[in-house]
Amino acid sequence: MKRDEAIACVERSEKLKITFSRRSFLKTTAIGGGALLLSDNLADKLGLVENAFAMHNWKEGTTFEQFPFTERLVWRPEDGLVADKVVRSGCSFCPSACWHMVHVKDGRAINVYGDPDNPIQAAGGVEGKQGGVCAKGRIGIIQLLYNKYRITRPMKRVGPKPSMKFEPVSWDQVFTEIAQKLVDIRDNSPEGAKAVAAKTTDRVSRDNGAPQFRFMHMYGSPNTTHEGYICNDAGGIAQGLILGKGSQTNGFSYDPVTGTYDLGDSKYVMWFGVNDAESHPLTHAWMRRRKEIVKAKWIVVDPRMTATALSAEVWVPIKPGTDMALVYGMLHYIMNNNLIDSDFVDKWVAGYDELKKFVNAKGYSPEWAAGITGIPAKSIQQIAKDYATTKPAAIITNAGINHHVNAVDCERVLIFLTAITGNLGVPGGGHVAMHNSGVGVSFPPIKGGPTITEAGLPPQPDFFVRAINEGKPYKLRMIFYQGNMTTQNSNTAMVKKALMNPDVTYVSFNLFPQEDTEYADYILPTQTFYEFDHVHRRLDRALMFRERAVDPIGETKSELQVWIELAGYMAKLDKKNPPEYWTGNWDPRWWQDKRYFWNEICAKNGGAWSGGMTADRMINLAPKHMLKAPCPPMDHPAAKVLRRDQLAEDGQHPGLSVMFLDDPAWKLLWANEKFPNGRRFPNDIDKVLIYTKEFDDKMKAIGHSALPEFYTSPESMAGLPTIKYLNEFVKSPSVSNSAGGNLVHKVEIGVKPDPEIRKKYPIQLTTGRPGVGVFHTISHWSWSLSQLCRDRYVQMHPKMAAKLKVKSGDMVKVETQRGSLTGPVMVWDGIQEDTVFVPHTFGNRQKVHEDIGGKAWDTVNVLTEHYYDTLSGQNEYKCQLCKVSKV
Amino acid sequence: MAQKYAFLIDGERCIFCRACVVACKLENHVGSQWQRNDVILIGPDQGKNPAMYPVFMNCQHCERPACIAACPVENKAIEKREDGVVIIIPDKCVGDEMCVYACAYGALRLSPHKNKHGYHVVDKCTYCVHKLDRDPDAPGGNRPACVMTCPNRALDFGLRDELLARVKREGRDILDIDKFGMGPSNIILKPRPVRMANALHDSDATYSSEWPFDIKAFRVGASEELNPAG
Repeated sequence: MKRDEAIACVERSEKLKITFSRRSFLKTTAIGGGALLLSDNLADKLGLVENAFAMHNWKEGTTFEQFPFTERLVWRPEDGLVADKVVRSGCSFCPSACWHMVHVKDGRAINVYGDPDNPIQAAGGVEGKQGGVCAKGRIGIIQLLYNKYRITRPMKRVGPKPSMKFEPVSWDQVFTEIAQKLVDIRDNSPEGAKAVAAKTTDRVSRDNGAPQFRFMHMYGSPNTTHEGYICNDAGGIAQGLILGKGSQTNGFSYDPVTGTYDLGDSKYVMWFGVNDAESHPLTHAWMRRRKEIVKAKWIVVDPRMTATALSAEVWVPIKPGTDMALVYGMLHYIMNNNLIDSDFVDKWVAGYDELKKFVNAKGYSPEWAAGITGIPAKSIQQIAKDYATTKPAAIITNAGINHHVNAVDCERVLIFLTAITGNLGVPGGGHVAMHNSGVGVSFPPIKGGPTITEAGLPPQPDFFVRAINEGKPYKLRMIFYQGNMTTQNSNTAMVKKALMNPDVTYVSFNLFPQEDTEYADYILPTQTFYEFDHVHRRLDRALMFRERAVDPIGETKSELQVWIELAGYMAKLDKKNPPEYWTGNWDPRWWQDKRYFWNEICAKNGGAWSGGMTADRMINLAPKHMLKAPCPPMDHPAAKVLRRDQLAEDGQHPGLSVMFLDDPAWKLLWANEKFPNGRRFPNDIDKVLIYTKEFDDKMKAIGHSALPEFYTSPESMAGLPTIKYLNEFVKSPSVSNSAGGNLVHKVEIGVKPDPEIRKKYPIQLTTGRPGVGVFHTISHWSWSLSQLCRDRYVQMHPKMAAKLKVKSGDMVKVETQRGSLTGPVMVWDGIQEDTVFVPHTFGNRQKVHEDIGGKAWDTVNVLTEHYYDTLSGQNEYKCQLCKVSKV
Repeated sequence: MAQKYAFLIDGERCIFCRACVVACKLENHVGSQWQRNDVILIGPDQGKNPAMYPVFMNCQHCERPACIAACPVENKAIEKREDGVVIIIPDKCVGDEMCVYACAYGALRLSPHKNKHGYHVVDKCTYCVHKLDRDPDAPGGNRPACVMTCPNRALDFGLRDELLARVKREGRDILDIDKFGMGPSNIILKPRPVRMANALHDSDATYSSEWPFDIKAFRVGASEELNPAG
């Protein structure tokens, strides 16, 4: 079919619009033509991507209804359009980090296939021909690249907030105004430099966010943060606290150092709060293939029956927020039935006896845990026995553990479990906390300028909101935000209130006119991961260098480029520092030539952790082998102990897949004056730190303790012990985003929750990812991915549906103390009877949903209150109270 | 008689990533309003069996296609080719949707595309016949787009006899979804004996291998009612 014909084919009549509306219940939702018109005008204002559409015969004024975006975004060989080059680039939606073969014609992507040479993707289709990718990788990126809503020029607000009244301005103007504002705030506001806060993300790519930290440190503000405190950093923070270093401990694919497939050789895998199949589809597929080969047993702990549980032997339908009780029940059984690994405990654990005494004294038995978790004691005993006696056994954790107020404490208890059964630091074992941050860019030290002495706000961006609204611990005046502030953070009404504050300047880095841009003073158009060279990270600390695949759209700039150029403007306007301070500490070559940046800057400053990871090595070895941190250079003592067969193909260090290995290749990385022969656990005592008096005192000073007692969200159905935030700020022992450290609330643990809330709101609300087609709000700007995930449904058990007299598709209202929303019911057997699940990531400006005949739904965070874990800054997204009624 | 093509569908390997749905859209320009294939989830039936089983559904390219029987066009706008593939001839189609209602698998749908006579035509999976003669090394390969993309080889495509021989070799059972005597070509493998125990009840318990299979569920688009992912 010729292109013109294809365009003609989609002229749709009104009759057909109705015919193609697939879901009956969607007819109840208003799909206004007016809304569509509005969005088109908006797209005009924001600068349409005209050049990108030239190949589509795109004409000004063409609306979506007339134009086949999804039909014609890729070309088949039959269509007569042949790629002039194939670029090996990759997907950065999720940390499975798939490789893509991008077919490019005249600087524009015309098709995307998976790379068959990556062992993770190798099972795709027909052997050796095409690697596997999931729905997001295949279509998502192309639809984000060539998208009529894409913001292509810097924007400055001309109308009131909230509105989308912007005018396009030049980068020169934006940089000048922002730099002037930064200088004014630092020199003339009562708070000084710390009144400027910034949040980055490395979701776009790994090396993109780090320059923000450098810029903010140079500017003098401690308030620089990243997406880890929203996503999943608690596991790594818990490891950092008691093991000395934190990240996902074990990795995927063949590891030459141990001669194993690492996690692929695990005989028993406990998935704790991980919907891995939908979160990281390709590494999950690899795990599934290895499961079949090694005959591993899988167990999924999750309040819901998820796609991950499809292939598990056991599903443990735990009550939300009670994981810590389950783990204590397991520990109780393992310690009292002598199922521990005594050799490991004697040699490597500090405080085992105190832990055993504590668990027994508190009565944290399987029977006690049964009453809290809803899992029978006999089952808990069986799980504990299986875990302790099957070797190697891995524990994998993700948002199900981390999105709770007890995130770090629960992760710590899981590390205790891993350690006392001897599963730590072995291939196929480990405390596999699927971690967000870890391996990063290593910059040279900053020359000259201020040293930050003041402490920053608590690390999660919710405190940008609270600092503005409450004025405590101090006020903010300017926010740089990469992401989507109004949908990511708890309690949307409060976020909006803060952003409406006239004293606050909000600068949004964005690809699309998302919800938060309604409150932005400036929108800086950023790039997708195909538009610039970058380095991405897989879950297991593997780094990969991705080449730019396509020409950038419009005037967009990568974040690294923005910070470097902004530093140039600071050099002109900042009178307190000499211009060399700003220009000398940055180099435009860093963004212009990323290979140079990673070869000469990052590797040279990476030391033992990432000194061996040059861009050249990453490119030469990929995609068969990916370098995992720690990867020291070959002249490091820890690299010299490796045998020839343990090295990568290029004869250099392959990177360690297993952390905390009882081997000089790991231990020598951590040698210092006190431990000249290295350490297995890089803390002060070279042991798993369960309990010491000193550590306990340190934790008690902020209201926690070395041996955490059980507590959960202030809004749990059963009225379980909870956390209380005292009116006092203390320095966090576990999070520090600058030399000044970060403040957190002092807390009281084990208090009784307010029973009144439970009476008024008797249903447990939990939130999470809506499905495999979604990667936070950004994927909702792809038509095909939005089609895979159209509705912000309310998932409930048939018994609850019967009580409410509703069936799938009926609209219900979910209400909390914060606000309410309505959504269609999805009746689902695999959920607790007293719990509803409402997916996050939706937003009321997602015009693409309207384009495909659906609705732009409000974010679920209109319902959630900001309760947080003071040790990690993670929010309570998964255990709140609500009530549900039929509309 | 010529050899016949078929799909081999193994839900045990499916990770429910739905790359097959998207790959089909890209290859066949299906658009965002409709999809030719689908992954449906069977179960769970809590208390009896908490497990779920994903099943890929597309046009079954039946031995005795109900769609052809139902087609009111004189020379039939739907044709069964020598190799077993059932295809719609767009320029004969008048878009009256008789086939849509006749199909037991929900595999056909009226599309926004119009033919030269100005009728909207019915659209369905073609086994990507346009690809079958391609060079296997061409971008996208020479098998159906969904098969080429599947990241865990839950889908396979080939000659039906060869696929059946392989199933026999591996000792797997085939799920019978032919309750209407139409003779669907696709081979859908039964789940292995149920392994999942619901810890709500008893972690030692294993449930009988009776899956809550309901023949009505085996339709493209059935996931609207059954899908946890919306």
